[in-house]
Parts: sequence; structure tokens; C-alpha cells
Amino acid sequence: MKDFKDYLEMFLNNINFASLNSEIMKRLRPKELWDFLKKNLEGFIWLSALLLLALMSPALDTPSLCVFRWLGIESCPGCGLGHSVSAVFHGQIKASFNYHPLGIFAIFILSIRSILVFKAYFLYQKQKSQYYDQNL
Amino acid sequence: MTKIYELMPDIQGEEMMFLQNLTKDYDDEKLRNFSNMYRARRKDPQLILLLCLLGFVGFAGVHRFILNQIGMGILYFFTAGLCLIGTIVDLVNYRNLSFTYNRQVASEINHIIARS
Repeated sequence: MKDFKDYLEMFLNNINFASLNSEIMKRLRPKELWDFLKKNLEGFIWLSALLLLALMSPALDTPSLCVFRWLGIESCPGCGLGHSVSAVFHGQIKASFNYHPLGIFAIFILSIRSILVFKAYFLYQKQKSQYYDQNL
Repeated sequence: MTKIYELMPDIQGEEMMFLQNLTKDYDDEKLRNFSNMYRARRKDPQLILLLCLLGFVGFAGVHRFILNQIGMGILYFFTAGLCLIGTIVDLVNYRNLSFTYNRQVASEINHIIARS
């Protein structure tokens, strides 16, 4: 019966250290991952917000996360937007319009915007690598 | 031979490196034209930051209109900056927003000048 330690040892013995030097591993260094995250912060935030809202239940039974409501301000033009987006993901279009009329518009605009953020980043990386190829 | 950093000393960091790469083959006259046009069309990051701060007073999304993102501008304006979350994201991210816009502007001007 092999335990976890044996598996770890087998794994460490079988790592091909030549592959660590390959082009893919060079691109996956922590600094570049952090750079990727930082430059595309907006896209990641919008996509994760949409994902969380899709997993949320659209009914008004959970405690409020609204910053304005914590401060004691009761009415705000964006009130109900989260519930509206969540209702669209659960197929309740009519309920979505009752929470906030801009729910579908928000999903549309936010997903397009995050795609554009990633597109601009990769275009810029391509330009940079072309320049370095010419000069090195 | 003039360099771009002599004509536009106020631009810093990654933006300056990008401009140097873009204008490395230019002669003096082209470089002067480029810097004049770029200075006129560029959006200053500080302008974006200040317009973004308007979101705390109730006029969210003005910076998105300025950066030519009309859809995001409408969404921010009618939802108070996505209930303040969007405004805070843009406060963190204002340099990236303006640099992305300025890159597009610089590439456009580069096309215009390279053809002439």
C-alpha cells in the first residue's frame, strides 16, 4: 500500500527538468501571471461578478450586500440590478424587468467589455514581441 | 536626431516605452507631427481619475464616455456606477484604462503619418 509520501517521491523523481526551461514554462512565471492578472483586472472582475450572480438565487431572501444600504441610504438608481441579472440567468425575464430594467443590457455590455479587455491585452503583447524579435 | 522623450517629457513609464518602439524609424519632421497630434488627442490619466471620482457625487460614467465606451457609460450613468462597485474598480484601474485608449490613438496617428 503506497501512501502520499511515496507518490510525492515518485512525482519528484519523474519531473523532467528540461521541460521547465521550455517556452511555455517561461511564460508561466509568477511575475508574468501577476502581470496578466493586473492588466486584465477589469475583465476578470466583470466575468467573476457575472458568474457569482448566475450562481445566486434571484429571490429577495438573502441579506443585502449593497454599500449604500449599509450607509443608510435607501434609494439608488442601481437598486435591484444584481437581482435583475441573476433573474435573467435563471430564465425569469419578467421578474428581471421588475427588479431593474437594465439587467439584460448589463449582461450584454459587461461580457462584450471583458472580451475587449482581453483582446486589447493580447494585441499589445503581440506588438511587443514583434518589436523584440526585430531588435534582438 | 530628436527623440520622442525630448518632445514629450511629461509621459512616463510603459507609455513612453510604447511610443519609443512606435516612432523608432521616424525622422525629425514626422516625429514633431506625431508628438503634436498625440498631445492633442491623448487622454491624461489624471483627467480620467478626477472624472471617475465624480461617481461618488452621483455622476458616474463620465470617464467612460470620454474614453469612447458609450455602452459602459450609459450603464454606469443609469445604475450609479454599478452600485459604486464599478466606480471603485475604475479608481484602481484608471491608468490601464487611459493607457489602452492612448495606445489606440497612437496606432491611428502612426497609420496617418506613415502613409503621408
